[in-house]
Formats: sequence, C-alpha cells, structure tokens
Amino acid sequence: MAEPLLAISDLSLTYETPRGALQALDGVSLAVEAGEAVAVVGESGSGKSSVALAIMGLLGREAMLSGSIRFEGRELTGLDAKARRELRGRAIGMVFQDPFTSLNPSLTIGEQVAEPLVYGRDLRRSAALARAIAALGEVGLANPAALVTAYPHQLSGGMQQRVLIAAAVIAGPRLLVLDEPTTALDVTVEAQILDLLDGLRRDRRLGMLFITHNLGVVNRIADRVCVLYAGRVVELGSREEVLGSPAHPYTKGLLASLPRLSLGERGRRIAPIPGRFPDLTDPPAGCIFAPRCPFVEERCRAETQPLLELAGSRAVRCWKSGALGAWPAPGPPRAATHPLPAQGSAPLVAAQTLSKLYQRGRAGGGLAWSRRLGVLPWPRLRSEIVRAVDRLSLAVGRGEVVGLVGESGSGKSTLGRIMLRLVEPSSGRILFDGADITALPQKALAGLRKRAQIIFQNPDSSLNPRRRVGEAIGRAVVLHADGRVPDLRARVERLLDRVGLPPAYYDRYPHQLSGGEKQRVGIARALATGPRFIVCDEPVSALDVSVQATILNLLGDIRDELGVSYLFISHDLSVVAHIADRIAVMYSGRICEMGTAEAVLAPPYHPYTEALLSAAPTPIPGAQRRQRVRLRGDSAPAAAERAGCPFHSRCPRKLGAICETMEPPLLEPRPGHSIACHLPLAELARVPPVIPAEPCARACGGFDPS
Amino acid sequence: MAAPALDRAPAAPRRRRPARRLPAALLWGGAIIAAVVILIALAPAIAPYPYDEMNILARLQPPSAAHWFGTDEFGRDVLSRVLIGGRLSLIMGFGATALCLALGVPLGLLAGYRRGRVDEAIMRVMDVIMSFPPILLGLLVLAVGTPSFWKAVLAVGLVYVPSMVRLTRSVTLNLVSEEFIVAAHARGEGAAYILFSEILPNAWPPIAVEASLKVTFAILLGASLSFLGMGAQPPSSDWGLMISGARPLVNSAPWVALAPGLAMCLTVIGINLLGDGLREALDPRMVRAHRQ
Repeated sequence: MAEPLLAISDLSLTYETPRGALQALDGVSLAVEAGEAVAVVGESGSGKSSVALAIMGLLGREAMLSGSIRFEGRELTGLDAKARRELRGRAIGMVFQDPFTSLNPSLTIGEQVAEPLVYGRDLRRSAALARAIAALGEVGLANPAALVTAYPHQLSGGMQQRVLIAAAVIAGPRLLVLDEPTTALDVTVEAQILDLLDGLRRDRRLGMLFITHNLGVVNRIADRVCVLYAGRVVELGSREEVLGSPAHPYTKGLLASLPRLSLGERGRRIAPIPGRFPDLTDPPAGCIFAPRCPFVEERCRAETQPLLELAGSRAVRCWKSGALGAWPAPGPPRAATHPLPAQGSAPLVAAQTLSKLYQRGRAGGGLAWSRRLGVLPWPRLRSEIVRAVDRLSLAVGRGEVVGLVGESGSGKSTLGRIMLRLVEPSSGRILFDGADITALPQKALAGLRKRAQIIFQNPDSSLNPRRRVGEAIGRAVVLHADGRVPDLRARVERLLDRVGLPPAYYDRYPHQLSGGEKQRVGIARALATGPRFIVCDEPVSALDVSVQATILNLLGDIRDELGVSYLFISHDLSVVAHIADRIAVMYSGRICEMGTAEAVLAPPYHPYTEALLSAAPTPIPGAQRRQRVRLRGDSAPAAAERAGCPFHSRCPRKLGAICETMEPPLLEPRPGHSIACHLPLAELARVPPVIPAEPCARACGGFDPS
Repeated sequence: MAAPALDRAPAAPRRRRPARRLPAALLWGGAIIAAVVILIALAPAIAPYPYDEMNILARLQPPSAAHWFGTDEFGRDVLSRVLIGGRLSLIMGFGATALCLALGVPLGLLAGYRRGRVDEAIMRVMDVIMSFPPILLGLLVLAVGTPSFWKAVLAVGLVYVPSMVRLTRSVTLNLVSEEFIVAAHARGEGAAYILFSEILPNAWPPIAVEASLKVTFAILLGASLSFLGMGAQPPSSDWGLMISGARPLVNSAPWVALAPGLAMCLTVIGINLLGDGLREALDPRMVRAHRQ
C-alpha cells in the first residue's frame, strides 16, 4: 500500500511547567488517506487541538515535540519556517472553531479568501478575486460576486464559516484540518456546514482531519474515529465499530453519558464517568484511565497499557477490552417519583404577552438620508428595532421543568432574565406566585430575589475569581437571613455537600476548580437562598460530555428533592428532552410550539421543531433517519421580515403570502400542546416522526436504557 | 494494595501544600520605598548642611568628601537639598495620586456600571478637563487665590483624574457583563456592594499599575509647576525643580542634576516594583493551584 496522505506516528508533546513536565500528547499515531475523513474525538484537555496545531506547525516555541508527522511522504517535524509556509494553505488547509474571530474584521471577504493565492501563487489580484468568487460559490454562498466586497460583520455565523472554508480550500490543498468547525454554530446551520464539507471531500478527494468533542457530528462526517484521552489514543477504528460497539471503557463511558434524543428519555439518569481528569504533570501509574474506570483491576494500575491491534484497522488501549460488559447502569430512573403538576392549578411564574425591544445601531449604524420638505437632504441616524422577545406568554408550574429551546439570538436568555427582573421588559406582565412583579421597584424585590435564582452557562465567568467558594455561597445566605448567621460555615458546607463537593472546597478559589466543579458551586450559590424557581441558562452547554451528565443528574435530583421549578434554557434538544416536563420551542422572540415533552418530540410538529429535531446529530451509527429537513438561509429574520410568521423566511413548508402577512393561528392538536402555524393540523400530523419511537438499544455497547 | 502504594510513594512529597510566598518584586519595591521614605523623614537630622546655606566661594564644586554630591551654582550642598527637597516631591507624588484615585476610581466605576446618561455626563466633563494642556490646567487651579504647595498637589491630582476615570470605566465595562455580576443582581445586592466588593477587586490590577506610573508623572508635573513658580517656593526646592534648575549646567557641572535624578529614578523603580508586587500578591490565581 502506498504511503497515506498524512501519517502521524508516535507523536509526543511536552510542555515544561513550574510543576514539572506536562505530557500533552503521548505516542499518538494515526493516518489519513486521501478522500477520507478521520475524526479525532476527545474532551477538553485531551490534546486534540494540539494534534491539529502540530500538523500545521503552529505550536509555540515552548512546545517540545517528538515523533514524526509525514505528509505525502515528507517529514513535517523540524521543517523550517519558510517550507512550512509553503505548505500551509496550499497543501494543507485549516479551519478554526470560531468563525467570529477567525476573520479579520477590517478586510473584505474577497481579500481574505484570495489571500492564499496572492501570497502563495503570486497571482494577479484580479485573477485571484475571480478565483475567490468561484470558491465562494462552491461553498454554497448566494451571490458570491457581491460578497467579495463585503466585510465579515455583515455576514451571519454560518456564512462566515463558509467563507473560512472557501479560504481554506481555494489554493487546492490535499488535506484539510478542521478544529471544531461547527461547535460555535446552531444545529440547523451545523447540518448545512457538515453537508458542505462532505460534498467538498467527495468532489476534491480531500483528506480531512476533523477535530471535535461531539460524537453526533462524528457519526455524520467521519469514516474513521480516533478517541483521545489525556493525550493518548485510547481507541482507533471505523465509525461503525467505535460508535456501534466501543471497545475501550472511556469510549463506552462517553457514549453512555450522552443524553439521548428519544421519547423514553425524560427522567432517566444518565451514566456519568466518575472522577476527574488526571493531572498531566503527575499522571496515574498504569492505565491513564484507571482511576475513573468502572472495570478497573489490579493489573490496570500496575501496567502501562499499550495500544493493542484488534481485527481490521482497529486498535484499543485496554488489555481486557474483549471481556468488558456494558457501562454500568446509573440507577433507577427518577420520573416515577415526580408527578406532573395538575393542569389548571395556578402557575408559579407566568409571563404574559412579554416583549423586549432593543434599538440597534443608533450611533454605530451610520447615517440615512431623507428629504425634508421635499428637497432638503436631512441626515438621520440609522437604527433598527430588534424584538428580542415578542408578545410571548409562558407559564412555569410548581415543581415543573419547562425546557426552552432555540438557536442563538432567539431571545431565550433574555426571556429568562426578564422573568427574574434582571432585564426590564418593554411591555407585558410577569406574575410570580400570583403577584404582579412587573412594575415593582428593585428595592421591593427582596422576596423575588430570595425565591427565584439563576444558574449560568459559563463556569469561568459565573464565579468572581477573587472570591473564595465559601464566601460566594455564604454571601447569598447572609444577604437573605435576618441578622447574623452563627452557623454560616456549617450551612455553606451542607450546601457544598448537597451539590457533591467536599467541605474543604469552602476555602478554594474558582481557578482551583474544574469546569464541572465550578458549575456545582454555581448551583450551590443559587440554592443558598432556598429558591422555588431557578432559571437554568444553558447550564451544561460549556461542559464536557461526561461532566454534563453529572450536572444534569444533579439538577434532576435537586428538583425531585426540593420540588424546585426550572426554566431550563438550552440550544440542545436532547438535553432538554432529558430533563423537561414541558418544552417550548422559541424562534426569533416567539414561541412556535409548546407542549409536554412527549407531544413536542412526536408529530404533529411545527416546521421549525421538525427541522431542529432532524438536524440534531446523534451518535448512533446506522440509525437511519429520514431525509433531513433543510432550511433556507441561516439567519434570523430582519425587522422587515417579521410580519406574519417570523419563521416564514426560512420555512421549508411556507404556504405563500399568508405566512408573510398574517400572524399564524394557534393550533391545538390536544390540550396543552400548541403549534403556531398556518398549515392545517391534518397536514402537520401527516409528517412521519423524526426520532424513532424505540430508543436504539444497541447503542453504547449494549447499554440498556430500560 | 502493596504495589500501587509503592508506585505512588515518590509522588508524596510533591503534594505538600505550597506555602504562599511573597513575590520578590514586592519585597524589593517595599525595601526601596521604605529606605527612601525613612531617609527623607530623617532628612533634617542627617543632612550634612542646611539646605539653603549659600557659600559663594564653594560654587559648583564636584563631588568630594565634604560635599558627596557636589555643590550647586550658589554653593549649596546638593545632597542636603535632595534629602530636604524629597519631602515635597514625595508628598506631591503620593498626595496627587491618592487624590486622583479617590476621585477617579469611584467616578469610573459609576460611569461603567450605570452607563447611559450617567456615563455620558461623567465622561463629557472628563473630556473637557482632558482637553486642557496639563500645565495650563494646573496653572488655572493655582491661579485661584495665592499659590501654595498644597494647591499644587490638588492641581496635579485633578489633572490626572480623567485618565484614571477612563481606565476604571473601561475595565468596569468589561466586568459588568460577567455572569457573576448578574448573579449578584439576582440575589438582590445593592449598587455599592456590587461596585466595591464585586467589581473593584477585579478591576484593581490595571488601576494599581496605572497609579504607580501616576506617582512618577505627578512628581514631574509638580516640578514643572515649581519651575513656573507655582509649586515649591524658593529657596525650598523639590527634585523636579532641582533638575530643571541644573539644566543649563549639564555640561559644566553634571553632578548638580545627578543626585536629584538618581533619587527620582530610585523612587520610581521602587514604586513600580511595589505596584507589580502588590498586583501579584493580591491575585489569588498567582497561588499555585493545589489539589487535595
């Protein structure tokens, strides 16, 4: 067999730190053939991005690299800077994670896409621009000739990612390195980008190294999968093998800890991976995964595990992979303990025709010229009213979890914050426990502040870095107590214990905690005042899969024990399907569908719900789903397109002018389930279900969801 | 469990909780500043000559055993003048900076936190102040009534308020959108608590660095005012005035400028080290992370 396009063998990477040598990569070997997509999967800290940077030669000077990276038979390690530059862009293209920061905001799209040609091929500018237009067309951008003179801020995130892909492939590279290219995008846009990448790979016979943490994306794009843990390859094999019958305990654990998008999901406990990520300056002896592995034996702790070749191209770093059972089941489901709140009882929190309007671009939007008295040119500041939340009503019952799903910019976080009076509504009413709190002055809100709390997305920004954990939680206790609290420390330690942290964490600073631990502190802080209602604003979105599972379980347990209500905001339908009693689907400031979890996840669907469901990537290989619903465009409607149904500009089932002018009626397929759509209910009900009724039992290595 | 225990044994000593050590910069800076302050406080006792004793016969003498740093154009002992004049310089530097912090930081916090109309009002006033050249603004303040040294301190402090407001405001703007501030709102904290207990500790590092630079600038601007006859009144002197007074003599008698220059350098280096060290010592992230 000829040499593969890219062959990495025995790649190791070490950093010198004050605490000793940090082994970021240890003996990584993998190969990418032309026309093949290889996914490198791992959680944060696994070293997956280091692999990409090592290939591109973009690691810092302090990185000590050993081993070999061969591209088309040519050794890349130790190449000088000039030879490296010749390869970058021309032979190896790279796409980074965040399209919003990867494009230079002060250069036009055309310049940025054509740049590799002008620099590398010494093409004339006009010729390069013509090629740029062709490339922009190839990545599916409408009207590429006009785009060439546009600036990045005028494009949506999905368009920016397409521009970056165009810039990466314009010089005709043979290998494309993609570092989490869809992580910053919405699911419907992610699906479009994955389609595009798949097409490019087939058309150009591109080799692809696809770095991601998302096993669902892996299932959609990869031919082969390489699972990294703590800088070591723990499993290598084809997509079907690795996702369908994982051999390494870590892969099994990853798959088991994913919440699944299925109907029997609600209330099930997810199996997390216990323990925390090893300290790479002082890795455990023997198998690196041993401290977190449920199958661990004496021998695992004693011997360093080699990568064992199995049948075919498969390899696994576990000596007893053949004899492993399923990942241990996480205990009984919770759903039985928790009855749905009775219909008709007064809700705990209710938003009634709430609106929030922002004015955008007052001074930054530029000038618009109009005529005064028919002749005089008159400058006016250009501005646009953005309806973040648009006449929206939503109620959360006592002890109920309402999931709020929507893409970025749909206004879901704004709604959550308005319901806590952290953002002032423009119009509408908020009722808390029957009392109207819309117009109360901030000083009179002590009761609300005690009984309603919020948990945030970003564990790094939700804790004051200069506050000890105990102070942060204790402050909330003291603030709402009458007078001094003599047993403050004991109470805070009880709260820490409640969220599964040892009491010694009282004296720690946030930077000494892992992401999941910080999130637990955030939960403890929210619980400190004894709230009845908690807005969970994407509480697991910034966490690794295995940690996400533990936090979801914790939130579920707390709800069951304390009877708290949640407004659970997420962009991830499978997370919401896991925890929510009712689901509200939000698009551009409006709720387009609302109902019990079972009702929303099964037909009849709102066309947008259907698109969201069908775009959500699942990690189950071979789970054949019907043709994906494709949305037009990738951005929310502009102010001018908001008349009628806000979804009409992207809806694949748009009827015609009625959708653009008339507000859609509320259809009620059954009590408590409502869909805002012009399509007749009978037609919506004819849509086949997107998710299979039976959860796939063979997933995650024989994991049994029952 | 014998085998793993043996394996782990060598790692044990490393797990010791690292003691919190003061940064070297803090120690050095503190030592320099302490030495300078003590010398200047004791100046009347240790200065070898009265600072204003003229000796026309001993004009412009180079350094010698009798005059360690030489004499100036009136035959006054340079060392004595540096020691005595240092008091005014230090009061000017620290006093003006303290004033600038006391006014600028709360205004900046308020502007960044409230935004909108409050921000506009504060920042436009600051823009007006900033649009005056510093010397002119200083003279303007001093022109009200008779000039005195304390008024000069006030004037120099006011000159530097706008830049402090701007810095504090920009740091605050970045911090107010952090989720821990929203969390503070959500549990019902008042504005004062949020500003001074949540935001200020995080805004402090750049402010401390800026303040340590301001001390230097204040000493220099104070010297300019003295030079114009608006600050220290002759025959008393401060370092800045001594340096500017020695300018015509730089070629013939460089030592006249050397001693006040060295004193100023030493003070500035000390303050900057102290500022760096303080920032490091106050930052919990600088403590090496330890695990249980």
